[in-house]
Amino acid sequence: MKYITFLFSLFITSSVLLAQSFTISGYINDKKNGETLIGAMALVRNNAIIGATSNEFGFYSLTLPQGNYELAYSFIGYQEQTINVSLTENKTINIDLEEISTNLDEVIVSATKANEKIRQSKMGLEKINVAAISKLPVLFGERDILKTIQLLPGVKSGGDGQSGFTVRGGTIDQNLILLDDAPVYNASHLLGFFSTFNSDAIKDVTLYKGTAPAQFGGRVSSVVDVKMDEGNNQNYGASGGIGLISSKLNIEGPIQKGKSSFLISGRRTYADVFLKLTDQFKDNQLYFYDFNAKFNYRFSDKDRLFVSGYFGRDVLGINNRFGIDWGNSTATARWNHLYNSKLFLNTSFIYSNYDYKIEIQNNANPFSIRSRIRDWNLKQEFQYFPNTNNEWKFGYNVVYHTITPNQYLPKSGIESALYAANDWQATNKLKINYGLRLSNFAVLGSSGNPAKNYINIEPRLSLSYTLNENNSLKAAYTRNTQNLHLITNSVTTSPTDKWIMNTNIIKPEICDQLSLGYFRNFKDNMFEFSAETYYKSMQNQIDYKDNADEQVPVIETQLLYGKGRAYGLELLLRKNKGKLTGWVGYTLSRTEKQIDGINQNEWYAARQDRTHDISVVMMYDISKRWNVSAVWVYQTGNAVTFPGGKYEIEGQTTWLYTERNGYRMPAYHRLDLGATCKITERKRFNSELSFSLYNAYGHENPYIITFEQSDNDPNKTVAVQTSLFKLVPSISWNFKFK
Amino acid sequence: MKKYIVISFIFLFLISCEKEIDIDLNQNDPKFVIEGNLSNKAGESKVKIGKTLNFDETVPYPAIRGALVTITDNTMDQIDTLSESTAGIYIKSGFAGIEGHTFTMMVKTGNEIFTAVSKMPYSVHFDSLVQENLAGSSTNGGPITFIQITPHYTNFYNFENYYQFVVTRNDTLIDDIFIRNDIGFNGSSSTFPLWVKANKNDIVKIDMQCIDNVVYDYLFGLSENIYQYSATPANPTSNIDNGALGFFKAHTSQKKMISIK
Repeated sequence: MKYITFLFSLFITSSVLLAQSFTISGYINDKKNGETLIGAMALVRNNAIIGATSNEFGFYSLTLPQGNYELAYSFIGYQEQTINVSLTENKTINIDLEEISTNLDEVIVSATKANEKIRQSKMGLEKINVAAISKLPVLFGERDILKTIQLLPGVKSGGDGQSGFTVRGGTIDQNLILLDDAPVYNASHLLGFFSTFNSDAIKDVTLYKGTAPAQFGGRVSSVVDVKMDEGNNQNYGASGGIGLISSKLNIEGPIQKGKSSFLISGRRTYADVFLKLTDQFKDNQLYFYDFNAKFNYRFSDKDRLFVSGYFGRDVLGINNRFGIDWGNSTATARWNHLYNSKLFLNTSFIYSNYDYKIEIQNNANPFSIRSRIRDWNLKQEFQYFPNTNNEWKFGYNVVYHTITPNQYLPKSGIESALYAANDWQATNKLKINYGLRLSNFAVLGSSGNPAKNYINIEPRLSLSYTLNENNSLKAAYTRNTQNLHLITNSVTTSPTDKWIMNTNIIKPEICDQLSLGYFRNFKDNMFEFSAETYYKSMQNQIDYKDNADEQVPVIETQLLYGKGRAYGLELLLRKNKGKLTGWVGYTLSRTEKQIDGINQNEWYAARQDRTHDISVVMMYDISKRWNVSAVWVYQTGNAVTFPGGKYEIEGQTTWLYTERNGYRMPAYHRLDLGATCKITERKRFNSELSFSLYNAYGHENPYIITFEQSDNDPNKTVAVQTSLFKLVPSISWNFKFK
Repeated sequence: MKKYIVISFIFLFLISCEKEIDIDLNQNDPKFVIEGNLSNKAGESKVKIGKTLNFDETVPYPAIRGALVTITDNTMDQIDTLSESTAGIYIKSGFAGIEGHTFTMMVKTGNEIFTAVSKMPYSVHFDSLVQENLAGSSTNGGPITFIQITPHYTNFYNFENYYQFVVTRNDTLIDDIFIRNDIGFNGSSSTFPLWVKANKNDIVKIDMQCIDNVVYDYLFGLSENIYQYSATPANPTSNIDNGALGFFKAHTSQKKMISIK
């Protein structure tokens, strides 16, 4: 209650109006296709401090004292536009920015405004430039935002070729992955080797490393906020790609020119076609497909509707005997309403579903297993721009979760939250983002009434102090809680991983994170350097007990609960301009758990603990036609449990274990190379060829290590390593009709 | 399940490769390994005592000689001492346990004393042994295939029942741990099959043993350990104290055999 009173008093004081102020508001769009621009800036010339940033729907609001102003509108990769405003009343100014022509000799590729990182209050935040990742080398010819995220410090890959990842010592289920506000429960295809995100249909990706503002909640490690394109509202267009094992097509266009648009995007892999050609595998199936669709309509200057959806399915079948198919579907309907130039409301209805079905055909007794997790979700958020120095967000969110485990009665829960956050320019040098999220999780009993409520108060605070134009210091404290848990001990994803909710025994996971950072730009923003450290303390962490059986019907019997801690240092040096761009990232970290009943109750390394993590990413423009890229990663191996000895029981060799996760997988390292060649570049049609070589020096990275009797000498035991991808070349052809 | 899915995926892509590698595994102080079997059939009880080896050492496993081994019937307060027959194997001729009684095994070697308690359950009647005829599986010559063999019996209603089936094929022990319980099937008759590798005309013998729940849990953990199924491998929880590995199993025994058709 104390928090609420405190916030309320801040709210009142900060919204006292300045005398004779007026508001400029409107939308910032791409001139060519009408797509709204997220995070575009409207700045008052000669005063870098006063300005506004467009929100996730392209809306901005800027309140200034009466007077004459020169306003500069800018966005990365777009030509700046300047207008003169004589401010004597509230004004609506919609701005269309034009993309910088690619025919210029030097292309500037940068994810954010030159020195935005220095000024923004938020920490542990990364924006992924979807256009820039198209230059990076890929596995199987498919670009993937979730794999690009893994190249940033603090983010660790789940395994060779995996789209699953862990952030700052968290687990893979502690990442909230949102596609147009809808949570995606299993963000991977083909057992993790592809992500569910078709990069052709993606507009904007933001990653928060556990420091997300109060409007996000429900996961303790990170938020990956993915926004889909809206579709071109000026002209029809099509783009697509043909690769060795998959193809995709993207169609977009206006429904009413300038007012409404649609976008439909689909992908299908066809590796199974090749399987049919072999005698041995002709009865096997293996493919996935997915669709993204979005439609938007502007009813008036004040009302706009967006409807978007995703549907994807994976199918794996072996000899018509064993079959599994799984997939996500999400749907989001969002309605923007502008009450006035200072108050913006978005209302979202969200549906999200993940399910899998296993069918086993044997003549005697065929059977199938089905499992599902489904959400119905309502979210309303107000954005209030009282004056130049404050930007408020407040709202609520109610989610009705249903989990139907195979053959058992469904379980339901209601997750609700109330939140408020303010981005406050306190002084010229100090920017503060503070907020509070009040969350409740009601475990519903069989009668539908709450059997148990878990209430949590989650404060968030981040401070940024600008030392000068090129240097800043930041600090943040965040508390996050999590009410849904994925039960898996591995760092890779599987379609059959189990999601469970809080119960009387399983309590919400709570994570407190404290982080500090130093940010510096130099050489006229050509280089960007950051150093961030964090310490996380986690409560109610879950792990499997010793010798756990993952297949038992009541998984709670296999679990134990305790605490966790994680700390680390993340360094990032990025070059944003010039022919050579890219970054070098380094993470030094430690992640441990202490759970009674495991490892003699002593602290032990969590499975995803890795000491060193290095990534080097380089892109080089050789000419207008050719660009090349290289990615090199090095990671300490995951913590694993290996036997320290052996003995004989019942005539069989048995392994002697000493401690939990006391050993390390061998270090992982890999070099990927890529090249892109523009073949045609015309006004209406572009096409390019992309070449990639995954694991170019063919290092055999271990995927699994097992221990067995030696084939050569039955009196000896050996360790056997299975590795996956050694030198995987791929080629794909991408095209675009405009 | 997960492991199978991942492995079949890798298999389909034909891109994985396997090789032996060197891993620096810690050297450990050797630990005692005790396998105590007490049967209700005369002459079938034995206690085997050995030690662990480091991972890179070559078998045979060391046997522990000259230990003092006793088994006490706690219900009747009667002590029997076993004597060493071959290296590390301790027996007593004609010795048998009684159903429903609780027993304590004590092993003394050097300055170390290990004890364990196990209850011999009442015997569930082993009705019959049936070979299922599977469509599509042939036992006519060719390579050895899995045969489905079903022991028929009816679980007790009043007690929880735990079983181990010890299977031999042509008098060779099959190194698979077959265990069952009656959770969810209390009082009903069981028709769960065992999958046994065998050929036509092979003689398959099955010893149905009723065991207590502590031993059942141990054997479950042991099978997870041997086949490396568990996500969190660890030593199975032993009913022997003082840090010894292994188990003390008081069990009933009923044998049936079948000639594979």
